[in-house]
Amino acid sequence: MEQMLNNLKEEALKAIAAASELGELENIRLACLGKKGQLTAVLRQMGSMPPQERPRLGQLANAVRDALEEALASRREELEAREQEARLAAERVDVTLPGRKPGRGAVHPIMRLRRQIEDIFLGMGYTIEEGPEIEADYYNFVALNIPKHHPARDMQDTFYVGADVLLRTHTSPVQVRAMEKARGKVPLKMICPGKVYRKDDDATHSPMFFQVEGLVIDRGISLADLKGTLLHFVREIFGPGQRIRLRPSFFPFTEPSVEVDILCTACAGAGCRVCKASGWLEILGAGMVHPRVLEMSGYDPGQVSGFAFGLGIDRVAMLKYGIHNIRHLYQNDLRVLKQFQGGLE
Amino acid sequence: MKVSYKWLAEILQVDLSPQEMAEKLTGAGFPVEELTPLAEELDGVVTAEILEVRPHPNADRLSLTRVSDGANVYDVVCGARNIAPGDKVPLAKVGAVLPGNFRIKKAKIRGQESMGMLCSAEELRLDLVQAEDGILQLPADCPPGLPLAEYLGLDDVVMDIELSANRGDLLSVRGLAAEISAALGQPFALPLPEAPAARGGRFPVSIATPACYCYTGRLISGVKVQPSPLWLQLRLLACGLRPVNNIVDVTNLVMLEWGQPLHAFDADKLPELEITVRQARAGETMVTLDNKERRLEPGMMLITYGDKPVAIAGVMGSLDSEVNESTRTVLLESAGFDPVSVRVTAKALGLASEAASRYEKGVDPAVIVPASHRAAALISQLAGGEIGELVSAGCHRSETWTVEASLAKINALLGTEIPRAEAERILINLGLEVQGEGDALLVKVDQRRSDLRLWQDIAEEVGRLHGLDNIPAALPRGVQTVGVRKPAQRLEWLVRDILVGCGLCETVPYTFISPEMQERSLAEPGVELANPLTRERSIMRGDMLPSLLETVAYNLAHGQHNIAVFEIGSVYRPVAGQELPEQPLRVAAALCGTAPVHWQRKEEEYDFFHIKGVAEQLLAGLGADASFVRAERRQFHPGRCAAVRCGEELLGYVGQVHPGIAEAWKIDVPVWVMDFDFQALVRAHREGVDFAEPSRYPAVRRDLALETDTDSEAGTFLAIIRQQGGPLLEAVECFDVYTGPNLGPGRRSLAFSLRFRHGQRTLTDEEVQALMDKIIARLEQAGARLRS
Repeated sequence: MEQMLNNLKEEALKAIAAASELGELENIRLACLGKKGQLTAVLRQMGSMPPQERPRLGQLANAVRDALEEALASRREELEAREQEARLAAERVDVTLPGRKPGRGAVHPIMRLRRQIEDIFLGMGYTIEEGPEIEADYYNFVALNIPKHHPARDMQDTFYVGADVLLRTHTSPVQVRAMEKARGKVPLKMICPGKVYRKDDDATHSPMFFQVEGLVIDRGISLADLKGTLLHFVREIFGPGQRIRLRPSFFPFTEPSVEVDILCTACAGAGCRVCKASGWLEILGAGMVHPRVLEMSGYDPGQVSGFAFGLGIDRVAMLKYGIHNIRHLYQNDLRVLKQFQGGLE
Repeated sequence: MKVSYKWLAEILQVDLSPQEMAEKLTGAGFPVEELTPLAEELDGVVTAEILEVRPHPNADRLSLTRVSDGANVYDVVCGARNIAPGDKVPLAKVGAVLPGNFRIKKAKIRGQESMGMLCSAEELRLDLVQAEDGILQLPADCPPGLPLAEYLGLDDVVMDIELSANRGDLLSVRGLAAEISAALGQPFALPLPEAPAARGGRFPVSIATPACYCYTGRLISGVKVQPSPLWLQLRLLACGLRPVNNIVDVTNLVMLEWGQPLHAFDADKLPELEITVRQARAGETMVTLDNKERRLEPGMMLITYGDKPVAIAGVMGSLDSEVNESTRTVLLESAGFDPVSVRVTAKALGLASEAASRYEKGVDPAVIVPASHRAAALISQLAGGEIGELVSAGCHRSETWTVEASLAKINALLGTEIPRAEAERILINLGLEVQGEGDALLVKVDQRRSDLRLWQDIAEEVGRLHGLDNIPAALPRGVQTVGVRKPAQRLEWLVRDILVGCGLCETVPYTFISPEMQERSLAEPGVELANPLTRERSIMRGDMLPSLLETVAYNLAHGQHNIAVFEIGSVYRPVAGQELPEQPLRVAAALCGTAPVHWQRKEEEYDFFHIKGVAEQLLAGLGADASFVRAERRQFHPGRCAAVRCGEELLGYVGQVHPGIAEAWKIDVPVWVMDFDFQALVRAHREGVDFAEPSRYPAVRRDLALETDTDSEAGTFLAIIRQQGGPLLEAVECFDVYTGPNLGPGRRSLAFSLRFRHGQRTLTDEEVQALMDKIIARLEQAGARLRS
């Protein structure tokens, strides 16, 4: 019997080691250790053994069972691991194939910049104001110190809807509306981004374009404050190395008036074709709010002063992205728009 | 304004290059846009004297000349007739290069050797007027052998300066010189011309309109009208004006010098020597110098002689009083006209003359008479003639005023610490008188600088000449303010981000459209422009659809097959009885063509459920509880349009553009659009989140397959399920829609998946079944049949 047990063990261990599938292993287990298995069959003969032999044989039988069980478990683990490996290998995908994207559009380049500009001024405590694009002559001109028949009306070729209704030529009328609403309260700090219209149409001028207007009114506001504010702004937009240059200018609604240049974005001031070798690019108009404008909108120029500036968002977009023809901004060619899918200003 | 660099340099007596002068002007606020050489390079062209002129033996139209440049004598064949021995002419020697890259070579012309070429003004690209056509005749005292460019002063540069609307004083050499001088830190004044000796020639002048504040005239009799001397012609050319004759050229030269427009009439052609300045009467007409008949209107101011209009005051003279070669007596006008009157008249007539552009910005009344003196003297010098006395009406002493400025206020406005001495020096260099002590700056101004009225104007002058670069950079101090977007502004960006996340590209089209675009789109009428650029862009749209279709059509035409776009923009609709139209903001989108392709899926055409999905995503993102209801709109496919509502409020529409409209746009594929009112979306938006604790108990899922007829709507059944399911129904989804042969015609099957859950305990089968029975009963009442 001892011989049988040893033979059984030896053969079973061989079979276990040779098993290559989990099913096969289970069959071996049943064949050896199952109720109708070989070990059970051997143990059934225990009764015919001499009693003094039985404890030893019993121990031996248990040892064989333990050995087989252990061998089975370890082989099962091996086979399971191998099987999983094979399954996973079969599940391999080509990771270089394109993913299933939920689809991604793009914010229009002007709106990207508009958002950045808004964020810069929100960060400095400005509010954002809005106003109508079809506007009364009073708000677009008269309240900005440009009475009827003033030569300065020629500075902005205007689309008219009626005698006293027009397409706003700048976002400045929103200034006036905001000042009227504030009823003399200071500080007033606002920007107004939006569409404006002028009768111009060439590679760098579009009859519809975007401006952002800024206005600050408080006690003791100076031209130096305007300069610092604009310097902060252009550095946020064009990078920390930027500089600004103020040149005297004329706008009927500011006094003094200035034109603001930044270092040429193409050559950083060295002089190139873009800046006509000057190293500078004109980017916006600004100035100290004209006392008559303050007065007309309910502020006392003896008590408060303010600055205002107006910037073409299109111009900034063209400089920033290197777009040479303004048409690209309004033609809505998807080949253009899709280029603005990524990134953030 | 265009002005001669040499003239400015001469009058200022400073040694500045054209570039340096341009920098000074630009720095002072008057950018020089262009520096253009007056003439092209004329290397090898010299002054020469004709010694001999003989006929060409082989050609009737040619002559043989011998010409001297002082050192050598050259044989030159010439085709012009206006030459004689002793004439001084330009000689292009062999090797010279004329404008147009025309190189002069030794040549044989009809058998005769020619060692160069005698030049006409045209060949030198000079726009000069001459008594006779042909070779350019130089003055008799011209020494031979000088480079022509040097002799004529052709090395001048035309400076094109951008002036501002408030500085009429700079429309003159006198004003520009003063400005440059101040920028150089020196005062400058051009002495006023003295009255020339004059005799007789008086006549009556009267002013019958408040729009003329000074009128002067004087006769110059016995003039000989001819081309001006070359120096005068070249000076005008260097200021962008074309020479005409010695009389007209003088009036232009003096206008350029002093900024005072002058006009010369042929006095012999005037009906009567009696001038009245008056407003036009209705029905009057006049033929202006440009040979156009002008209908005059009562708002226009006229110069009349014996009541006959001979000029539109300050704008243009009449053709029949024009000065030409036959003129013997000139009437020289120097006057002051109201800026607004001149501007309105010039605009109404569409005439932009040099005179009008000066009058409308205001001229200095102190110069009216001296300019007449200067012009009379020059005319008499260049055209001969006897100067008559100046007659005038209305001319008063010119006005002066004092601006009371404060140094402290100026420094506060500029953010500077400019000392009094510097401020004073700046103002004095500008030709202003400064009085007062300590903080007070009392600045005396005359009408030359009528733009200086307020202390802020003085501050600008001080700041600008102090140098804006010298102003420090600071930031506003004072009360801090909070910068936050208003709720609607935040939502606008949220809408933009949601739609971009749905795969749509934002567009910004022109808001003006053509009448045809409006009509083709069956669009709401927009707002018409009175003066559009083109008919194509003549209406401010009343509807988003034309813009969406314009973008779709453009991209289809440019080979795009996957078009997914949106716009957040206004429409413009006239409102009766209201000055400004209504201008609501809209959120609109269009899908057209195929959805983005992926290798795992079949190519998919956009359909109703794509655009509806975008709308649903948008509404979900806004937290809006909206419903889609079948609707009919003339712009939409009759069976493929839904109105989107939130409670009672209409938010907008989604659907397919009516194929008839698409066809009118030549678009042969379906276009799917949505169009929402932004303010309605703002109202529909739900702020924040009502948090609910997730249940710890298991859900029970039940599926439901219904057979219905195809006219019925899934929405009806979904609403019944939700209503009957009550609070225990956690979710319901339609997961299958089937029509097919085994259902029979007009029938379809809808499959719903329902999920029930209780917040506080496990639901029992019985409870769920009871709910299901209720739901099924109501569904069957509504015409659905339960499929087994």
